[in-house]
Amino acid sequence: MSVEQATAVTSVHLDVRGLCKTFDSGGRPLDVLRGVDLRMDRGDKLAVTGPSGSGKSTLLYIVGTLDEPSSGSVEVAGVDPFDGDEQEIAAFRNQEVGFVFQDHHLLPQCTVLENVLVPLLADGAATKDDTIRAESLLERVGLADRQDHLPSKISGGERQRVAVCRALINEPSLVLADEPTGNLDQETAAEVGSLLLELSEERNAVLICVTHSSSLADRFARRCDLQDGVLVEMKGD
Amino acid sequence: MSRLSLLVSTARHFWRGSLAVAVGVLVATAVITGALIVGDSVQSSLVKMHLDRLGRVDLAVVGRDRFVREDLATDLEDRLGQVTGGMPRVAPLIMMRGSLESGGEESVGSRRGLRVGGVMVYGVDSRFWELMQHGSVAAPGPGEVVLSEGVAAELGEAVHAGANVRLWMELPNAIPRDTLLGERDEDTIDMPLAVAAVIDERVPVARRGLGRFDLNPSQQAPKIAFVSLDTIQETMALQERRVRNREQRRIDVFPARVNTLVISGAEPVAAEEALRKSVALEDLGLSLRELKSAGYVAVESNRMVLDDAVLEAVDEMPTQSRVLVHLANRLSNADEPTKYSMYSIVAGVVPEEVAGKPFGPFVDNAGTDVMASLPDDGVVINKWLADDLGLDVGGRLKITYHLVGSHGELPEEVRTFRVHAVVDLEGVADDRGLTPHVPGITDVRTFRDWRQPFKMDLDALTQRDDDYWDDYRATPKAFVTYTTAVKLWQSRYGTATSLRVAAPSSRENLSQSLRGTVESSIDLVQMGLAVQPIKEHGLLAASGTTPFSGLFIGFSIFLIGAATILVGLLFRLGVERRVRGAGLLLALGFSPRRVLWLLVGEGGIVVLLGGLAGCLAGIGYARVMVYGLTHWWIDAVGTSFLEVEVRVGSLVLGGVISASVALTAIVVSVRGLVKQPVRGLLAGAVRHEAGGESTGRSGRVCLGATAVIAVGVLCGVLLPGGMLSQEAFSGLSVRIVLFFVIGVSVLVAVVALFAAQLDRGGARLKERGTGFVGSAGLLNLGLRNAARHRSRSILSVSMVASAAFLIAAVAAGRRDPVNEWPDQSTGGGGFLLVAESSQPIIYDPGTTGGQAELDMRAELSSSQQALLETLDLHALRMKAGEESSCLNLYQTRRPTILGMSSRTIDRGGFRFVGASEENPWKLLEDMPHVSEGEPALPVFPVIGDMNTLQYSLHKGVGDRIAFPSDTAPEFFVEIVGMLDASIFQGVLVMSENHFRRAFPSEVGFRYFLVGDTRFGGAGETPDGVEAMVTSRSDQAEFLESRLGEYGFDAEPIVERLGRFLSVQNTYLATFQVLGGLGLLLGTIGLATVMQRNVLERRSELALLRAVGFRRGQVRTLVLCENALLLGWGLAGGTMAALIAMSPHLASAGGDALGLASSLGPLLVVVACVGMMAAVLAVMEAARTPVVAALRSE
Repeated sequence: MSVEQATAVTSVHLDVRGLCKTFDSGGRPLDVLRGVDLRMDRGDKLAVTGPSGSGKSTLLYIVGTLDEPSSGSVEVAGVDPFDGDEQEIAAFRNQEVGFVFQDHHLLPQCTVLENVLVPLLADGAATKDDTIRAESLLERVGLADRQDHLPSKISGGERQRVAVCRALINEPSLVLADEPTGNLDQETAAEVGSLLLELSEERNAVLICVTHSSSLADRFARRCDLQDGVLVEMKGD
Repeated sequence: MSRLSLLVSTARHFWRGSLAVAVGVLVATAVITGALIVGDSVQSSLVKMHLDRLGRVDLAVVGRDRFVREDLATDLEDRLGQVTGGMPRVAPLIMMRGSLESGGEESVGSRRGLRVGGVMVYGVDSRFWELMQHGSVAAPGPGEVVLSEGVAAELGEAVHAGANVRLWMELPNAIPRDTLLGERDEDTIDMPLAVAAVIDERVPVARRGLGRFDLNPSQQAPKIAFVSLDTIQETMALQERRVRNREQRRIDVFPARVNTLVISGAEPVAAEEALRKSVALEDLGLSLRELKSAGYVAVESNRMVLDDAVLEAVDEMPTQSRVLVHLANRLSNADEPTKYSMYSIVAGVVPEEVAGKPFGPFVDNAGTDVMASLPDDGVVINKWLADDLGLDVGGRLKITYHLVGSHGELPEEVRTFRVHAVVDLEGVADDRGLTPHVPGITDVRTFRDWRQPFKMDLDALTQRDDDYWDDYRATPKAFVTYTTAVKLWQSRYGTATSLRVAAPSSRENLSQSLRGTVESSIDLVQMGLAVQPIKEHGLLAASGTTPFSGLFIGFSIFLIGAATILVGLLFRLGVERRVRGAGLLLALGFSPRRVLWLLVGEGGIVVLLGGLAGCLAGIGYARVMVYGLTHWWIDAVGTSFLEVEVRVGSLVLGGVISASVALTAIVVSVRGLVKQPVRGLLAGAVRHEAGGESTGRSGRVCLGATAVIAVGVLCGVLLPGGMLSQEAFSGLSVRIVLFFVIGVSVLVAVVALFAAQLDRGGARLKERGTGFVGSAGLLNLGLRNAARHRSRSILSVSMVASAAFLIAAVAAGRRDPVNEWPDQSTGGGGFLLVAESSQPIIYDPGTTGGQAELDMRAELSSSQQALLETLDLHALRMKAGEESSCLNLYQTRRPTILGMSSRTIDRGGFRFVGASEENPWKLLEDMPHVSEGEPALPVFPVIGDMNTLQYSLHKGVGDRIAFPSDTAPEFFVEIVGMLDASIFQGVLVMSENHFRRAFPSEVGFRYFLVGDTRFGGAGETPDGVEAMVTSRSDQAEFLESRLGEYGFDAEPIVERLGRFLSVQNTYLATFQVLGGLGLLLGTIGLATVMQRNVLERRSELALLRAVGFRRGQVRTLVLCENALLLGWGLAGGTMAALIAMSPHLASAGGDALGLASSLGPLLVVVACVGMMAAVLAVMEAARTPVVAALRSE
């Protein structure tokens, strides 16, 4: 069953149940996640906060299939991506997930436009339509005149905006941001935060953002705190 | 945008890192391509050399001891012209081996000039000259000689154009020397000649062409002398002669003769056809003797004995009679010995063939056919003999006759026959045609005029003998059955002395038809007149040459290996620096495999560019190698005529091979990277394997390897030498297998010990800083630094250690045979001298009898007398073939064969590979068996040298070689044993008995091994080297002077072995140099690793500075780390090689001094370069600003 078909059956797009993750720490098990439950519909936006080492990024990477859970399940539109093999998981990540990292991770050898198009290469080459879409995304984030620049020639905020465009180029249903404004000054951070929220809203995507920034977290409709390996919904913020 | 554009932009962006990788690929490609080009160059140079050497000559007919009419050349040329329609050319020449001496007439008798043996002497005229590349050199005129530069050089400075020399050659003799009537004594002739020209570098065209003329392919410059054909013919009585035939009362015309024809512009098949049509009986040494009165024609040979091929050719003709006559020294009445008759002919006839006219019947007084009932132990005598000896039917006739021994001696045999019948001396019994015409014997007036083939007892002759000679000449006095005659007197040359053929009706046409039958149906190949496609053979031999491509790839294997490891290492280092990119692609949904292929694709671009540049660099590398082969390593090829030949195919092949190797290295190096956690990659962290856990494993490996070494060394010490030389498997001796087992085990132990040290250092660091206490603190810190990138460090040490191991092992493998004591179990077999003679020596100079015949025992001084007493000379027969030792680069098919006597076989000695018999030489005496298939041919066992068999002939034990050719084999030789590094390189050894069967026309001895009974026993200790050396030179001087007329040329066996080994040693030197380059590249790799380590640890080093370390201390720290890796690798590898080679080094042939002088500087250079490279890393470490480095953390 494809994600589109599954979405038609149930309104819950992301369903995380009893997610646990244990690391081996010098021979002793270290439980980072101890049964995380999370349900999100299309268009939901969630900020995850918590102290350093609480497992926020781990949760994000598991949901984005970059890491595997020790137990529990993750379903996106009724499908557990971990049921697939390595190739299928990679394809899922490419089509359904868009990542924005604290560090922009732009390829220094590629131009701004090319960096946005990179995800398309996982499944072939970028078409003309893809290029037009990338250009419009860059225009949307105000980088239309920068698309032929190399990453080394643009500012930190601009780089992170390019990273946002790259996360959205495949129109994923899940946008996962790991401290997207952590390296930016306040003003730029606000700009990038707004872009993330607006663009996710426009695409009706699920947005999960891990952040230490309460000003950014406050702009999200839902906010959870990761405490002792469990997500605690913060109400009334 | 596409993946390709991503690849291209990535490669372009990281061009600095890619450049280093590309340089690695360039080196690998250049080395591989260069090696292929070297192979091509050697091969094409050999082809060119062969074509230059032969000029326009395509084919040759080589008669050797069979001399054909000189006019056959003209006849053949005319006939070929008719067949091919082209402009074929045929040149006649005389080709013989001889020896030259400087000084002409003035040195006659004095023998003081310098002498060169084994010279190929060509008697030529303008017809031959026109076919050659002779440049400005003119053909030799009468009494002149043109010398190749090799001969001139050996004859000394006094020999130049205008100088006088003397040429010694064997006097050709139609009747084989080792038959009863063969000429034994006057067998060499010398002629004074004036040097017309020396073909040297002043005449480059002739030097490449004429100066290297040789029918056999070899790149070594041959020793040649060209003499005018007329001069040689006149000296050897081969010119046209008119001789009065007293018997037939006519003038016989003997045409001028030659023994070789070279043909230009014709195909082999056409030439064979034309030769068959042109050849006349005279070319085959045959003559027809018409005996009109007796009514038949006899076929006779100038060799006295008819080849079997002649009998086969006329097999179809009706009414024949075979006759085998023998000269009886004395016929006597067995019961009254005082009644005798000297020097009479006894004939063997086939009773059935002499039953009717015109050859029979032999009837007694009663008219009975006495031959029909002649038993094999009976004899029919003529009335004259019966009267002379007082014999009648039933009496006993004693026949005394000479046989020819295998060593030239003439033992006298006696047989007694019962007189079966007496026939009148008339009709068929009075037939001079029964005995063939032998010039100098059957055609002289009296016995005293005989050309005495052996010492005749003329005093015993009686008037009756003279009377018989006057009236009946060589008419047989007695007759035995043909079967008996063959049993007693057949020689290896044949079984009949004449074949008589009668005409069925028209007598007039008999001679004509017999001539036609013989000429058209005789097997020319069997008669030694085969058309040899020498140009084609040479081209074939050049294509099957020593595989220089493989050899150089082998030599460069460490260079290639080091470059490959470097490519992998550098690429991995490059990728590790931007590992975040790989992590990102994985995060974006690229599958690990796709990311891997993207990385490999990027590597592919680099490899492509590096490979293309490498192909060009390969041409340069090949130029350097070819220069090396013609200058530094000339011993390996023996020629400076090598030219670089670049073939596109080899460039492509070299590029493809190196690209595959480099890409594999790249795949291996980055394969693990994409399997690492994405989070880690995104964070820029590459997981390196941790030490500590593997401490136990390394320790166990180390222990295991040590145990293997101990067992190996014990085996090496305790096993007897014989067992060490035995074959372990695949032709490898136990010694070689032990070397590798011990060597590799030491190497593994060294690396495992290093790994264990790293692990221990790492583990200790985790516990407490105990290692930092004391003066070794900095070194320990260095060790722990090395432990951080365990695989990098181990790889570096392995690379340096393996390269050092091979280089040291190769250096230790050099042999210096000159210092080897003549032990019977060594390659020289315990002999002191090896010698060859230009002309065969009929008598065995190794026996007292032979020495007496050769005048070696006349006028001896007391020291010479003593010398003869301890002289241990072994004479071998020799069938010259192609030079098949490692000194010849061409592939050879038919090597020289030696015939070894049972005395030498019983003596044993030499070193065999994988033989279990006590004396493997005995295998040579096994009865020959017959080959499978039709026709079944004899297979003779032979023994050869391993190098010759494996590298030149590409044969092993059990393999066979067909003789004289693959297409028309007459017999096979089968290899039954292999010798290790022996004097018998380039030849195959057969037992003398088999040799005489296989090569019946090869006469006498031409190869000699000379020893001294006081030295050379098995396992003898050197307690008199000086005495041995003195004896050796005395022997050489004595033998060369006493056997000088045969061109006897002796050299110390160790020198010849040294020449053979110099090729091996030169290859080892080449390997060492190229291996050294590999080691150098390895140290560059090590330096790169160091630099990378320093870069990665910039902040750590900055921290050390921040906590108060001085710059110098930081430098020392990094140097310690580098020195540790480099030193461990070099020392470990060298130690491994020396331990493994210790048995060899301890032996007499080991060259410890040479080892130290060649290996020491190389290791020092490598250590210096390695440390200098580390200095760059050190400078980098010390230069880094502390604050910036700390901030980057």
